[in-house]
Amino acid sequence: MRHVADQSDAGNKPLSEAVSFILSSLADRPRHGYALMQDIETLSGGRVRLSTGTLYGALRRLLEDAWIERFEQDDTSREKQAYRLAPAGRAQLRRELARVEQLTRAIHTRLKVHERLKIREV
Amino acid sequence: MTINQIFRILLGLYPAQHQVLFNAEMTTVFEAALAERRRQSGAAWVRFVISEFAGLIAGAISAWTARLFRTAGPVVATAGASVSPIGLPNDVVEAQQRVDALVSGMVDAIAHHQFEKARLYSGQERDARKQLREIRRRRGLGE
Repeated sequence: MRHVADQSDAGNKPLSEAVSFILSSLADRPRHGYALMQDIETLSGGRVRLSTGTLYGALRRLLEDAWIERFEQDDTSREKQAYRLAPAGRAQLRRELARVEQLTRAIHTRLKVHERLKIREV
Repeated sequence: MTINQIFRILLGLYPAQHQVLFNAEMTTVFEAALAERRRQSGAAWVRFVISEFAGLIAGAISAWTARLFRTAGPVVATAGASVSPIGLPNDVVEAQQRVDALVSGMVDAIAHHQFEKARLYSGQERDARKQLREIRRRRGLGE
């Protein structure tokens, strides 16, 4: 079974897209389930739309791994339960950012080399 | 049969603990999303419904798999996995045992269809888990 965060390899494995978006969405403030769903759609430019089953499957695993916390919010909305990013989740998100940045740099570097070689050939 | 009724039936595929913790919330989220999609085109609405139902079935399979393959216990598995009986302070062990006991109580209540009692356990379990986290943090054991 795939854990969101296996204690032994946390920080090494890339996060799934759904988990990355959930953690990113909670990075600035807590959100209810539906607000999370909407925010993820906005964050991904409409590309990612999590189904309720996918969203809550991921939320359950993130709660189990203590990357996020669930709490009751006193407001007037229909949804009382909200989610916030826990310190462990924030640390994981930073690690993911570093990983993606490194990957992006590597891709940029190799693409530039390829373009330079192409120019020389011309 | 309405779409909402089918959704509720599919929610019944999830393990009991998941149902107690998330069913009400998932239903609210689904109804809100459904209402929004109804304003869109018919095709978008059909795609939405298919994706929701497929997501629920996949989610239920994943939840059962997680439940069956976790040895330390159901919902509290992560905390359980990090709690080793060797060298842990007593207050951490006690707090973990309290969480485990409440989860067992909740499962038992669900098995006997005592949903009010299960909800009560669920609330207490949340508080107990919060306390456990706090104790672990104080002890420098991380989350």
